[in-house]
Amino acid sequence: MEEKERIAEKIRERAGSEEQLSRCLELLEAVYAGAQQGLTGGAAGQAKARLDAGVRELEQAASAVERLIKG
Amino acid sequence: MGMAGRIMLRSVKVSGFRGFGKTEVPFDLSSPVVLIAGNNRSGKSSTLNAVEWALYGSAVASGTGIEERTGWLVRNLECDTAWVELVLQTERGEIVVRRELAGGRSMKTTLRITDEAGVVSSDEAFLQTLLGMDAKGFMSSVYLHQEVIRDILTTRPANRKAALDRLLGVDELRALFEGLKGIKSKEYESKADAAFARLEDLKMVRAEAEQREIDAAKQKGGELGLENGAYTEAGFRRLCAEASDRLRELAERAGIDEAAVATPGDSRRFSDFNRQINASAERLRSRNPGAVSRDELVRRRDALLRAKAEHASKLRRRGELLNLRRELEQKGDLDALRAQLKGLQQQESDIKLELNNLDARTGVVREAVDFLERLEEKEAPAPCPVCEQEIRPGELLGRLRSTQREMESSTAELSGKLKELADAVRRTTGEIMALENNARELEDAEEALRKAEAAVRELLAGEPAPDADLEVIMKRELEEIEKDLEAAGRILEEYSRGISEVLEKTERAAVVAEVLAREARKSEIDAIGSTPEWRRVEEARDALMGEIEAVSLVKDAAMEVLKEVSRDRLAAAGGRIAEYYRELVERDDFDAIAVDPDSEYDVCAVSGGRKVKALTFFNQGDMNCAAMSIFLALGGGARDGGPAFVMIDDPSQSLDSGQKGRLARLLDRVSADSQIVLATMDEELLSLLRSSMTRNKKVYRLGPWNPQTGPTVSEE
Repeated sequence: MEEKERIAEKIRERAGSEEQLSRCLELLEAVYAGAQQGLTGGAAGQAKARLDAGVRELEQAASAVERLIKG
Repeated sequence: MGMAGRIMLRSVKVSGFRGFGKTEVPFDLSSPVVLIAGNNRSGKSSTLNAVEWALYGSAVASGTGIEERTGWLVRNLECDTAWVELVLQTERGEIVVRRELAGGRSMKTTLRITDEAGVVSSDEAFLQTLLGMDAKGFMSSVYLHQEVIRDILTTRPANRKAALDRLLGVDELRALFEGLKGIKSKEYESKADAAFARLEDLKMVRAEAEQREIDAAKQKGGELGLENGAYTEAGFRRLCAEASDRLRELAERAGIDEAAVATPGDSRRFSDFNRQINASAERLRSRNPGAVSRDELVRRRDALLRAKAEHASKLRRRGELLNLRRELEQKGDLDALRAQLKGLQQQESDIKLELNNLDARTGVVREAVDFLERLEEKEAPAPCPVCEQEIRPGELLGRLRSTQREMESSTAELSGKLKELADAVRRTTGEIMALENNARELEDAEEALRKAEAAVRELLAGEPAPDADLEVIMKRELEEIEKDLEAAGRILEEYSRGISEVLEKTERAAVVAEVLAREARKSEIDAIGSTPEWRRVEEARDALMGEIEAVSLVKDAAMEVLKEVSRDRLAAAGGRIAEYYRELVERDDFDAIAVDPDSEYDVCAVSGGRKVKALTFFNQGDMNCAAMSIFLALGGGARDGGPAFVMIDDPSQSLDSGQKGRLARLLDRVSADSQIVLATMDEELLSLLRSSMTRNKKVYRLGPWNPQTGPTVSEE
């Protein structure tokens, strides 16, 4: 827990915006939970899940635009 | 550091586990130092294994990567069940952990934990939380065995790093950092870029395609006579209005009740208009007055021509029959011929009667001649058979013969006349029959002609006089029909031209509508960047990029903290590591060792300011001592928040007597912070430990072993 707080502190120092800070802290919580569950795969799994969700969101939004372009 | 308030071992009972037999074997572990002595294969290690199995079960075999544990047999094959009951001491009381493997063919492990308050559960995570570490951590920082020693001093950085991380308690942090480091951010960036690139490409391709279609439509429009300025909504509506008006005009001129097609409000509604105009034009075309009139005229003309031909045929037939009659009547009409026949037949009858009379008289004369000739031959007078007077045949015979000749001549003449009369009768009869046939046929022909005339009269306009020359009237009427047909053709042509004009205007309107629709579509595509959908893509892309940046930022922060914590903990333990090493090893050249946090935890021998990688020159005994120094300085009771005990299995391998003595003294020192459970087959070490360790000790000696009963256990 102490390490996690130290990481959060570093993130606070470096985050360029509130949005970024919030996103990083959210990610930190997720990957910590993952790391506690299953070591490397757990942390990566959580982060990847978030990134994959972002990609899916982007692809869904892009599909909507594609449909618009294709008419 | 001290042991107060931390987890310690209290006791363990073992049955059927690995080398132990069915009989329950209890070990009292409550002393600060517990030594388990015995020869190889006597069950020393199994005793330590029993503690780890009770705490972590199969996770030790599957989750630690320790080769010795892979596929290990938990149950003594001579026993039906294996169980271990471990009692842990916490500051609040005792926790009893019982793990059992039972179930016959389908063996199943059960866990029963009874906490300090007597609450029973089977929660594996409870033990991990209680001990503050998972199986790997336990096997690296509490349980010192040969694999730990190998890992600490291994040439493989990954193994060394993992072992030291666990000893330093940063394995979770390392896992977090490595996990984030393993994420291929570039791939996600590429996906984001690719999504945008795909949209940009699609946008460009579609816009170009629309432009090509616009150009093609305008070219077609040019061919249809549309000016460049015609491609406006106003131009479209004008064309539609013209088409609609022209159609209405045609309908009115043709007297057809056809609803007007409303001009569409804009080009997007062209398709409805087009459908209505085409349907309306089709209806007008099918009800075209010129076409209707022409069809009727053609029908009348054809009927009249057929009737005319029929009439002419009947007329001709009648003429032929009349001519025949005239020819037949040259010898007299029917009455005359019949009278003539009657006369001939009378003559014939008279002659026949005359011939009969003549024939009868001829017979009498012939008989008389015959009689006279017979008399003449007798040359004697004879009486007449009738009058009985004497007859003189010479004179009479001459007269009769003359009469006979005259009568023969008359008969021949009459026969000739009779034959002529028979011929005349036959001829006259034939002529009468011919005339009679002609009369019948003529009657039929007259009837057929009357019917043909009636048919013609029915077809002719008006009512021709009974004596009218139908042929002439028909000819005149056919000429009228031909004139009407020409007129109908002109109407039809004009009407078709009108409908074509409507359809051409509609076609031009279609082209304008298509151009307008495609221009609108192209404008939409060009302006797609300002749509909410596009903004959502940008937001999603920004969110994804933000997430990628977050991964990088968290990863960098985690790495820094990992380094800091490792460095801090190594710095904090560095003195103790060096101290322990000095106590274990007596080297003149290098009097200390240090773990370098910046070079993947290289273990270095240190002398003054000089550092050399220990692996490059340490012998096996020095290596073991170095590994044990690191383990004892960082693990067990020395580890923050960890359990206050260490389990040490066979630590004296490759150690000389001096090192063994120093190890015993070092362990005595370590026992101030950690309860020590140590298994050894080394009697020398055992003796040294007994003599050097100052805290309460319990010594178990494991004796001869057999599969059924396990080892004999005695307490010394």
